[in-house]
Amino acid sequence: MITNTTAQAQTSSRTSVRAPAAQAVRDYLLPFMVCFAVALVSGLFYYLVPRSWNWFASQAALWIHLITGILGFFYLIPYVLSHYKKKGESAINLIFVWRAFRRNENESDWSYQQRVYGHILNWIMALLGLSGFVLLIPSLLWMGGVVWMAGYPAYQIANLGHLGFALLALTFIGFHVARRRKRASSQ
Amino acid sequence: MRSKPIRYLFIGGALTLIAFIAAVFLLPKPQGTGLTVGEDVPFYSMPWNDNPFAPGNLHTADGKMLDAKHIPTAEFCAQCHDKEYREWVSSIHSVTGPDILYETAISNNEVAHKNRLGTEKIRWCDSCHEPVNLLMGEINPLAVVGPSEATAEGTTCIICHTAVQADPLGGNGGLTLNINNLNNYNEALIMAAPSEHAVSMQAKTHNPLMGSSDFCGACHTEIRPVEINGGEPMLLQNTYKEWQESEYAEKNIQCQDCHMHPDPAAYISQLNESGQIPERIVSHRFVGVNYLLTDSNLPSNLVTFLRGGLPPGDISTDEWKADLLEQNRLIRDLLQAAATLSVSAPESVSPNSEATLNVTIANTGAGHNLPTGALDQRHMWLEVKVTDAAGKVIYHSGAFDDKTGKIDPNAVIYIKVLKDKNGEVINEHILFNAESYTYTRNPIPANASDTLPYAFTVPADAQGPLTVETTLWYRLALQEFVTYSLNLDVIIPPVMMERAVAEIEIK
Repeated sequence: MITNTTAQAQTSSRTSVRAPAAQAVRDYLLPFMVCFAVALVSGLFYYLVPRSWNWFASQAALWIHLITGILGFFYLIPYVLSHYKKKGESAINLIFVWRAFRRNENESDWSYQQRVYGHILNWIMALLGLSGFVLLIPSLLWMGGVVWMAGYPAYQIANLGHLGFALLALTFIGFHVARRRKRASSQ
Repeated sequence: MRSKPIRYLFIGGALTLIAFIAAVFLLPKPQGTGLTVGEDVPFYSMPWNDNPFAPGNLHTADGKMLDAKHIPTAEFCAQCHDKEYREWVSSIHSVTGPDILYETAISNNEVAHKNRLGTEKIRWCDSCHEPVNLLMGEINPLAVVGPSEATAEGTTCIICHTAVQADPLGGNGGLTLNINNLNNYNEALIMAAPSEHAVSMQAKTHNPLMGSSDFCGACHTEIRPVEINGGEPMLLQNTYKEWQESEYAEKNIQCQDCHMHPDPAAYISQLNESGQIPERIVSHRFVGVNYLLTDSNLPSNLVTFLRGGLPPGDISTDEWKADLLEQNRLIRDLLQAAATLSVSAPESVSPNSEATLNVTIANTGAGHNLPTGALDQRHMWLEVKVTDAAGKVIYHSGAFDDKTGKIDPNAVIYIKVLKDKNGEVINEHILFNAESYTYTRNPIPANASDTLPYAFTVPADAQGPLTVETTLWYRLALQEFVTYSLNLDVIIPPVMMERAVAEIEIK
């Protein structure tokens, strides 16, 4: 039987098990990074390895790239939001990014730079996802019964952008994380 | 490696890479869809050698026959490539097989060699005209394969778009097609990542052969093989070689530059006026000279009959007929851009004297001979008419009788006269029986000209000035072919290529 007392206890218990921001960052980090890694390797495999080596392997790579790319993007959003929360950054800065470039009071050089690099990384990731989505639009429309493509040159530009953003994202992830490691080891 | 993100990234990436490398070696490779003669295609007649496509020169890369159920039709390609489909469907390439003129011609040839491997010999013609039918084994005395949608499409998309090698001097469909190794695509994946599709379907950026004259030469060179009628190989169409020996080849102007231009006449005019090679713009109309099979204004829906029926694909009859008319306009414009005509006449003549004039036909727009192609049917002739001021005809050569379809037998005409072993003229395209041929007048090479002298007597009562009208005419086929082979009560109209007028005063 649920009484007022037990109901209250249940509510407070639910509140207490809700993961704090730091926990959420850790929870989302694994699936996001794995999806990103798989999408990156499968994308590069599809792009660089001649299809004649094995047609089915290249087709499998493309499917896996599409699936992990989409999945990775969906993990990226909660990951970034919880990362912001953990760092006390306003979520609105995701969009009004110039606000993030204002230095906070008493903010160290390292923190400021790390925060700015993080924002740049966010935007690179957003552009990576967007360019992937642009590439996917004709396919989604096809599945909806509409045939549309902006043309092969447009595809090539979007594809090149997608590849460039992926490599930039990889570089910035490495840079963003390496700075933290370097600081931790110096302390 | 203490940092979690980097560890996840590295482990995830490394495992994926290992998995893909393993997949390359462990996953089976596509086997190809080609069929083996005997095993998959039984009772297939190969009287000459082990090449199932002989005596034609078309080949598959793996030497196997085609399984029609794996061949995408033009209708299928049109789902995404509607513009290209619309251009192609009003072209002559879409009816190289179904075209009634062709169907009639091959029947005539087959009958002429009945019980002499007539059906197998048709493979020579079908190498270019019905490549899908040939490759799938349909051209056989016994029906060993069923019909397919792609066989009704003539030279359909997949034929050109799988060609990996060309033999332009050997001709007779001298292409090697990698057609049995079309990988199975998921259409949604093509839309997401079209680069592989562009590569395998030989977009010209990926296969330079597609943009080269060598590719066209494979079919626009016709040499009758010895298997057909013994003797020596007989050169019947030489358009590629004509181009190869022209200034156009020296300037690197390929067949595609002009014939795949959206408006070939405009291309020629731009080339001649500026001397600069215009930018290559590609259309799949393949504009040539067949004004008959594109004239949807012909009475009694004749064009549909001549083209072997309505087109494949999702196009309304009205749209198709409008496209045909546009194609017809481009063809007529091209014919008119091919030549220039000039008359050199005396300023004045005396009554009762003999007047002479020279008419020059210059090939100023074709990158090959004028005329070219199947010249036992296609012909060009000159009409010269002199009238006095009262309208009285003083001289007339090359008149066309639009009631009978006959041309003045004394006209200057550019045609190839085929003869059989008895010396009889072959007017109905029975190439199987040809023993020899002569040109009534040699075709005019690219950038060359032919000057023809004319002479006539000026009557005593002629009123000056005299008007000399010269007209260069082109006609697609001989009337005999239409009347006796097609059994059609239709006069093939000629097309005016060029006209020039001069005046002569009477002293």
